[in-house]
This record gives sequence, C-alpha cells and structure tokens, in this order.
Amino acid sequence: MNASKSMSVRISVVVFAVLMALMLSLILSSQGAATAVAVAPDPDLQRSFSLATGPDVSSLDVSDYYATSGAASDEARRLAESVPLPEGGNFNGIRWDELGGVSRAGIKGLLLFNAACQWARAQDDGREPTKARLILDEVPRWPTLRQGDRNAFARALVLTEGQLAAGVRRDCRELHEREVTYAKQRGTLPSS
Amino acid sequence: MLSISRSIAASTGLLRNPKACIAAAVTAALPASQAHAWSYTTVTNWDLVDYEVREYGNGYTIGSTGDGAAYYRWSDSPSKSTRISGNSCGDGSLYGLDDIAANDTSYHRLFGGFTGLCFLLRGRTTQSGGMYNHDGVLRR
Repeated sequence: MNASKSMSVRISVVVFAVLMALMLSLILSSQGAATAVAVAPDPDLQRSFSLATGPDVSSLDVSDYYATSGAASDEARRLAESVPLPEGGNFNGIRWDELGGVSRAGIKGLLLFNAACQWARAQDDGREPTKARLILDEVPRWPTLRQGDRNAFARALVLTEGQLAAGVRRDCRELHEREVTYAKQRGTLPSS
Repeated sequence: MLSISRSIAASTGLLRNPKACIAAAVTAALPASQAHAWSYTTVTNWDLVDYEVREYGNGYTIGSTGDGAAYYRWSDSPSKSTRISGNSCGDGSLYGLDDIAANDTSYHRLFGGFTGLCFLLRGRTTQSGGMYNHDGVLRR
C-alpha cells in the first residue's frame, strides 16, 4: 500500500515538474518574442511611423531654396535617410539636374512621392507584401501627402478599383519606366 | 436663314417636340468649355524670378471631370512674360509648359495627362527681373 502511495506521489511530482517546465518555457518564449520586437523594430516601419507622426512641411515655404542640382541632390541625400524604401529601392530616378531650382519642401515632396510609388510597385510585384501594405496604409499621413490632391493620390494607392486608382498606378508605372531610361543614360542603377 | 433653321428643325422633329427644342437650344448656347466640370485652384502671391524656377504648392492631380489637361492663367495682369510648367511629382521631369506674355490673363494649356496624374506647378519669368505677389488660377 505504502509502495503504491509512494509511486503515486512520485508520478505526481514528475507530472507537476513537467507542467512547470512547460509553463516556464512558454513564459520565456513569449518574453523573448516581446523582447525581440522591442529591441529590433523594423527600420522601414519605424521610419514610416516617424514620418506619419512627425510635423508637416509648408509647401509655400521657399526660404530654403536649392538653385543648383548639386545642392538639391546633396540635401536630398540627407533627407532621404528618414524615408523608408523597399529592398533594392533608391532615388536615382529623380531629375535634380532638370528642375532648375527646388525648395527643401519640394525636395521632401519628390522623395516621399517617389518612395510611395516604390512601395506601391513592391506591393503589386508581391515583394515584402505585409510591410508594403503597412507602409502604404501610413503614406496618406506622411508630410506633403496629408492634404489636397496629393492626399487623394496617397489614399488611392491602396485602392484596387476605380478610375483614380488606375490613374495613380499608371502614374507610378510610368515614373518607373522613365527612371529605368534615365538610369541607363547615366549609368546608374534604377530602383527595383 | 430662318427657313433653313425651320427645315433643319422640321427634319429632326424638333418642332413637334418643344422640350427637345429647348434642350437643343440650351446645348447650342453653352460654350464648349462648360461641358467640363473643372477643378480650380487659386494661386496667390506667387513670386517668380528669372534666375531659377519657383514652385507653387506641393502638387495637384488631374481630375476625372475635366478634359485631362492642365491649364494656367494669371488673374491679375502679369507685368512680365512668364514660362509656366507642369512637372512630375515623382521625379520632376517635364510634362509640358507654355509661355505667357506680359498682360495676358487668358488660360494656357500646359500639358495633357490622365485622371490621377500628379504634377507640380512651376514657373519663372522669361525676361529680366522678378514678378512678385502675383495671383493666378490653375484649372484641370
């Protein structure tokens, strides 16, 4: 009787220990996942979030004007660091040398519009689909795309039907076609 | 002349249908431009210079109710000749432009596009010196 009681206690202890181990591993793994998200958020999503929650730029402010293509592209390189792009993305297609002058707001507007089109193409091509969708949902809150016609354009990027959605997609597609031609002429790499 | 009109009206059955007659008269009286429901943007206090191209606003799109083109006119008489252009919102490339002479306040077609196309409004003076605080209208 005592032997069977002792065996039953041993089994209970083992079962309890196994259950505790399982629970502990579940807790640790969930904490690990949470830590991973907190420690290493996706840099593109973080950039997009910062743009969406940051201040807008005044489109009528021309106090910071870049009259030469060199000055404009230098400023663009600096501003581009805060703009998310899909893998293989770049801003080589923007024709700073043909603009004949552009404000800082104008530079930012070109970069953000160009980036939005690159994410729309990524989504259409099935590249980074989840991230593309999350970013395109935020694009209408990016600076220079929050108001007016450009906001309507940004909102149409996530639509799949309608005349405006078709036109917006065509605009982005033709933008990329020009970019590829321009890149070939200059010996640079177009965005993917 | 009156008899020709009567014969045309009679042959098309307009005299027998007063409503159709009125509708035809109204349609004929409307200028072609009113067939479109244009989108207008008022441009205020735009400063243009001769040494660089200046932008206005951060971009506009071609709507679905116009004729697919973008037009610009000065609403206060411009003191200098100007060159106004429409450029891509995504890469700055030129879609089209037109030169507007001094004192010209009529609409000028900048380029033809399509519904949803985003463009930048840009301009400069084409004669020496600047032109400050001038107003205009963008139609598309």
